[in-house]
Amino acid sequence: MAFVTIPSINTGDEIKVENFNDFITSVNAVTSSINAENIRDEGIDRRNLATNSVQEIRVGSDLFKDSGDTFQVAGSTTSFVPINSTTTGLPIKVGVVNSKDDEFIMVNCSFSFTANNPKTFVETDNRGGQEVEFKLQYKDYVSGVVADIGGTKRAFNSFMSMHGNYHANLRYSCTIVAAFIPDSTTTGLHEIEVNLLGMDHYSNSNYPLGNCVVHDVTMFARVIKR
Amino acid sequence: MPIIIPTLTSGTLTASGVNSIFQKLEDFINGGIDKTDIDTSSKWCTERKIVRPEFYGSPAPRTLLCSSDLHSRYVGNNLYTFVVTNDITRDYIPIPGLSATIYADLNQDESSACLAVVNACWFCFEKEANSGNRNSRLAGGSYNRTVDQIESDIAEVASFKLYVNGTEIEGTERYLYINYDGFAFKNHSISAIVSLSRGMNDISVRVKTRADYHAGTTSEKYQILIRERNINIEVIYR
Repeated sequence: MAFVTIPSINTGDEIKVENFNDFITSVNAVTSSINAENIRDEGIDRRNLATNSVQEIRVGSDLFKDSGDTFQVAGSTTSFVPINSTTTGLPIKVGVVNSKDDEFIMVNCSFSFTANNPKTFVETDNRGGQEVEFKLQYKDYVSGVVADIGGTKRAFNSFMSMHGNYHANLRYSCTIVAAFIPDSTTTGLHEIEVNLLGMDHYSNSNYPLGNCVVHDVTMFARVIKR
Repeated sequence: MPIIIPTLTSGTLTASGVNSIFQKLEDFINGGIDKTDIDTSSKWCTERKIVRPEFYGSPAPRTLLCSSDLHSRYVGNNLYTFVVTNDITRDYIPIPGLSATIYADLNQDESSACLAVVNACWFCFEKEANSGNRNSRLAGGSYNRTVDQIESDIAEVASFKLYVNGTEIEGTERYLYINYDGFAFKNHSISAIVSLSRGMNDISVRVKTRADYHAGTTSEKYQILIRERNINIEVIYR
């Protein structure tokens, strides 16, 4: 606690340098010692908080958005893979986001997708139309950990059959919002990259003939400080 | 910055010396305290130390917090379904319940812009006004729809986009297709980060209808219904 001693001088006392020096010493000791006992309840408002002290967003590498490109979902029936641009080959991802142990990374990912039926197969008793799955995965370049972000898997499919005996197309939008804490590292620091992964195929079938493209994408990450 | 007052030596106690001490103290107390004066040996700043939030209800629900503000709007039942047709407009128009005019409370001595996270979701579909005007071969219908005529480019009836202060936000377009007798319910969502200016800002999800027979389609377009919907906007200051 920062604590200042005021010299007590009574009428008729001799005023000495020492009286003031005790006071000066106590004032100089204030530096780096202001704590909870010096701050009244509800005494801290916005002007006392530094920029990015509660949450940090960098609109450079932490923000991905695209409305003019399409991104091909190329995962098979069994594995998720990055969703890459059909023009540049680059994936839908954000990062590297720098954080510390115990800080949350909050990710928002929102997009439209189009899965037109390639009309390779007509309807059957057991095979449906297009089926698409998405999830978020992070990589920590400090620890090397690559892990799914829990609870972010989303799946869409269609069994509706149209005139001509082909299943309907599948077009939707999807938003995934998740907060997670990466596994601790020895340095206490993290360099996090978050990817949107996908897979597509025919519903209830092993035929890897998914035809899904993602478009109109916004994805961003922020660090929630502790 | 940290306060440093030189100690006095014997015989130096003067009026100007005493005034100098109090002047330094005054400068320190009146705005001179900075982060180097704060005890960082432990995390002593608990919630109770932060100024309490302010909560406001209708007509502009919002929570004003120390580090951010949260604005919310919603329409919770179909008494307030928003209906639009291509007779009314074919340009993007704001959707009530998915629109808000909010105040970005930035001090004059800080940046003139800040970031905000916008999350919106809504339930929508197309519906014919006359049950005989159906885009399907179901009861009363007159067409046999193939896969290329449903949920396809030529079957598009409307699109949605997020707008901030009259400017569309990249990567937020969402699409609605002909109803096919109610099969084409759509639940759409947008999550985006946007930049706001100091003062008032208009944020809205907007809808645009498509013309009848556009892009070679044989179908007319009917009513676009936007049912239950909500939007929340987190203005981030710190």
